[in-house]
Amino acid sequence: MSEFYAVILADNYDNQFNHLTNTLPKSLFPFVDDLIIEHQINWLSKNEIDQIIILYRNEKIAEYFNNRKRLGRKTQNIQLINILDSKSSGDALRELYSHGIIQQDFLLLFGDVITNISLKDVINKYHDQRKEDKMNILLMVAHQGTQQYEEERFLYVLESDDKLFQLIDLQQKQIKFNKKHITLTKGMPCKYVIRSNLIESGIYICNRDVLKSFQENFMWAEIKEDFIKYMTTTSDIQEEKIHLYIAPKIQVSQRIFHPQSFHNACLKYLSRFFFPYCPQQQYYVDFFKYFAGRVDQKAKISDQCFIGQNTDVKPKVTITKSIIGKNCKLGIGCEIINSILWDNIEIDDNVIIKDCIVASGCKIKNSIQSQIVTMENQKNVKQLSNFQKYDDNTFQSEDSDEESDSHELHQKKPKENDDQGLKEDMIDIVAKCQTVSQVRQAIINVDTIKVNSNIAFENIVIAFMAAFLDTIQPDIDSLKNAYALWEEFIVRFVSETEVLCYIKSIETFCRQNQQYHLNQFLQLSYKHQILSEQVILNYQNQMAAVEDDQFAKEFTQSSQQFKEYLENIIAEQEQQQTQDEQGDGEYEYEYVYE
Amino acid sequence: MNTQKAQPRLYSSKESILALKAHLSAKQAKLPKNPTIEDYITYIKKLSNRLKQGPLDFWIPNVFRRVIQVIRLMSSEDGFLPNKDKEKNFKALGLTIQRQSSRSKTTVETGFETGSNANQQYIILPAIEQVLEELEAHSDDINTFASTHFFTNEVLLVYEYSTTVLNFLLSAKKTRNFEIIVLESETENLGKQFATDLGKHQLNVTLTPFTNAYAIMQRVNKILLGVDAILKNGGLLMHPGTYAICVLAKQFAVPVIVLSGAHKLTPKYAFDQTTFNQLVSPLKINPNSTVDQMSIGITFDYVPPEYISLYITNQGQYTPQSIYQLFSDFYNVKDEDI
Repeated sequence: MSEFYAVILADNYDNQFNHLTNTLPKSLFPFVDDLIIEHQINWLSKNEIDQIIILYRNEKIAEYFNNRKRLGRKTQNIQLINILDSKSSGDALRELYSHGIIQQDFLLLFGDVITNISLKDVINKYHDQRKEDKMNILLMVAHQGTQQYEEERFLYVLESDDKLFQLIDLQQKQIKFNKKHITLTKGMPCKYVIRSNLIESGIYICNRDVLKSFQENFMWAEIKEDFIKYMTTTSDIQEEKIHLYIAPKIQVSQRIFHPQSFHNACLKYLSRFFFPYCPQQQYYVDFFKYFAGRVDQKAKISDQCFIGQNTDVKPKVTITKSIIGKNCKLGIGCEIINSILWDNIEIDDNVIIKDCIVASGCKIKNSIQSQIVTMENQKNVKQLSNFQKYDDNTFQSEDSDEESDSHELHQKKPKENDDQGLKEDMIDIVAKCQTVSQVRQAIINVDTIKVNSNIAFENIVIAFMAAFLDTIQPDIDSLKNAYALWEEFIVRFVSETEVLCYIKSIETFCRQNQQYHLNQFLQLSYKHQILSEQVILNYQNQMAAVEDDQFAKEFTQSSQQFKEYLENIIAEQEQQQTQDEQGDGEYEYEYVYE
Repeated sequence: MNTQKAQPRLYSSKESILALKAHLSAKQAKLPKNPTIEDYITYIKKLSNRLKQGPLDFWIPNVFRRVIQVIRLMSSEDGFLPNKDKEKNFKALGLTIQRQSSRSKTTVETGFETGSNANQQYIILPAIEQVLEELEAHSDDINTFASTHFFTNEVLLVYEYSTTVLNFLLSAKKTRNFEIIVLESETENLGKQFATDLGKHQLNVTLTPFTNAYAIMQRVNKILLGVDAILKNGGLLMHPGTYAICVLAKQFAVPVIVLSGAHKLTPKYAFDQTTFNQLVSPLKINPNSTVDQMSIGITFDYVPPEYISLYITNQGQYTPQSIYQLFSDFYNVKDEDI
C-alpha cells in the first residue's frame, strides 16, 4: 500500500469552460469551500493514499503547490510532472511512463471528479482479480444512478463477474453489438448483461501494463475512446481484460464536464450527497444553507445555498440556489439566481445575475444572464439594462436552465443573431397579413418586438422591406394592392430619418430585378404620402448627378415626367405660401412704443 | 471541509478491548519505564481518543471508561498480591492503608515489587479480563433479569434489528409463548432480516410496515427496544424512527422496555434532537433521490426519558428516575471527559 500511487490528470483537453480555462486550469476552480484539487487530495488521504503524482499543463498548478501550506496530521507526498507538450491524455500517460516512477499498480484520476467512493473495497477487488489472472489490467469504477448528461450516456455490456465486454457510446448514430450470436441455455441467465444505469466515475485502477500499451500504440489519445475500445473490440485476440467495479448506491461521484454539471455538483455537495465530504457543520442553517459569512435578516436566501467567509449579504438581497465565495460584496437589492460566484467579487446595487459563473475579482455593474465572466472580458460582457425577470425561453428543460454557450460574449454575433431573428419574424408577419385589420395587428406586433429587443427603426424598415418586396409581383396592379395594404404600416415606421434607407432598399431591389421600376415605387410612395416631394426631388437630382451608371440613367429618363410634375407642385405650394404671407400683411400689427 | 470519518463502527466494543490488550503488550507502547497506575490511565485515555471514530462514537470511550474504573477499584482494594508470602502480605496491608490515606501514586518505596510487570500483571490485565467477561456475558444477565417481566400470550412489538432483543426472545421462548410483531423502518430494510431470523426458531412473528404502527398499538402489550446509547439523564439515542413509536406508546399507555448492555451507558446530556446527531447523505433515506428533493437523513433519534418505563441492563433494572445511580457505580466522575 505504501507504494500505491495516485495519478491526477490535472487538466482538461476540451473547451467547455473556454473563457475560464484560458487562465485557470480546471483543477484550481473553487468548488464551494475549497479548490477541486484540494477536495481530491482530501479524499485520497482519507482513503489512505498518500503518494500523489500530479500531471499538469498549466504553470499555475506548479505555483500553487509551491506555495501550498496545509495543516494536517498527515502530509502527502506530492510530485509534479510537467506535461506541457501533450495534447491529449494519452500523451500525458506516455510522459508518465517515461519517468519510470510507477512500478506496479496505480490509481488514475481525472482532474474534475468529486466523489465519496470508498476505495478500500475497490483496491481489494483489484488485487483479487490480479491474483486470478495477470491479464486483468484495468478496473473501472462506476456508480449507480440515472445518466443525466450526454457525456455520461453509455451502455455497459458486462459478462460474468463484471468483466467489461463492450462500452457502447449512445451518442453515435449506429450501435453495434460485438457479438453476432449468443447461445442461451434453458434455465440459465444470459451470459451478457446490458446496463444503462451506471455512470463512469473517472477513477481507474491500472497496472503498469496500461502505460506500456499506451507507449506501444502512440496514436492513442483518450482512455475511453482508444484504449478501452481497443481492448474490448479485439478481446478475441487480446488477453487483457477490463473489469468494472460497481459502487453501492450510497456512494456517488460527479464529473464536471460543463457549467451545468458544475452547478449540479455544487448543489449535490450542499445537499450532502457526498457524505462524509460535506461543508462544515458549523455553517449549517436549516435546509442545506451554509452561511460562513454574515447574512442580514432581511435577505431572502433559498435552500441549497452557500455563502462564503467574510461575505456580507445586505438586506433585500435574494439568493436562489447559488454559491458565493469569500470576500464578496453584494449591493442592496441584488438578485442572484442559479449562479456560481467565486471570490472577491463586487456587485452593484439592484443587479440581477442569473445562470452565470463569475470568476474571482470581477466587478459587475449591470444585470447579466447566462454568461461566464472573467477578469479579462468583464467589460465586453453583454450587460442588459432592462432585464426581464422571467424568461420563458430559458426554462425549456431542467438541464438547460444553466449557462448557454459562451459565444454571446463576442459583440458581433448577437447583432447577427438578432437580425436573423428579426428577418424571420418579418417574413412571418408579412406572409400572414391579407387585410388591413391584420396589418394593424402586425403594427402592434412589430411595435412590441421593437421595444422588447431594443431594435432601431432602421433595422425594422430594412427587414420589412426585404420581406415586403418578396411578396409583390412585377405588374403594376399587385404593386398598387400591396401598397394599399401596407400603407399604414409603412407610414408608421418610415419617418424622416428612415426615408433614405427605405429608398435605398427599393433601389437595390430594382437593381437586382430588372422587371421592377423604381419610378413606380416612388410614385406609389408619393401617392400614399410615404415620401414627400422634396425628398423625391432630392433623390432624383442625386441620381441624375451619378455618372457611369446604366441604372441611374434609365431611371432619370423614365422619371423625367414625374420630376416635372413634382416641381410644378412645389412651385404651386411656394406661390401659395407667398400669397398667404402677403395676405398676412393686412393684419400687420403696429407696435406701439411708449 | 468536514474532516471526520463517518463509517459504521469498525471496532465493536469487544474488539476495542482486544485492541487495548494488543496495544499494551506491544513493544512500541509509549509508556514510561516504570509505569504507575496513573500512567496507564492516561495512556488508555489517549488511546480511546485515537481509536475513536468521530464525535458520535460513544462505545469505545464507554468501554475504556469502564476499564479505567475497574482498574481504580482493583488498585484500591486489598490483597491484589498472590497469597504466597504472608509476611509480604502484611507489609502490603500496611502499605495499602498508607496508600489509601494519602493521595499518592502506587509506587511504593520500600522493598516491594512495583515494577511495571507487577502492576500490569496484577491490576491491568485482570481489569481488562473482567470487562471482557462482562461484555461477553451481558446478554445472559439481561435475559435472566428480563424474563421476570413477561407473561404468557403477550403481544410484543419490536422495531428493526437488535441483537440484544433477539437473544432475549430466543431465550425467553423456552419458557413461554408469545407473539411478536416486527415493525419495519421506512428507510432501511433490516426489519425483514429480523423477522426471518426469528422465524427460523419457530416463533410467531408478524412483519408490518411502519405506517401500521398506529393501528396495531392498541393490541400490543409491551414494546421492546434496543438502544445505541443511554444518556445520563435517562434519555436514549436510538435508531431513527423510534421516537415516533415511543410517542405513540405513551398515548396508548403501552409500557416501553429498553434492553441494553451496560457498556452503552454514556455519561453525557442531550437537550434536543440535534445535540448528538449528524446529517447523512439523502441516498441513505431514498436511493433514488435527486438534487431537487429535500431529503434529510439523521443518524440517531433522541428519546427523552419520559417515554420509557424500564431499563433492563446486565447490571440491574432501573427506572428513568433512578438510572443515574448506575452511572456512579459503573464509571468514575473523573473519566467523563474522554
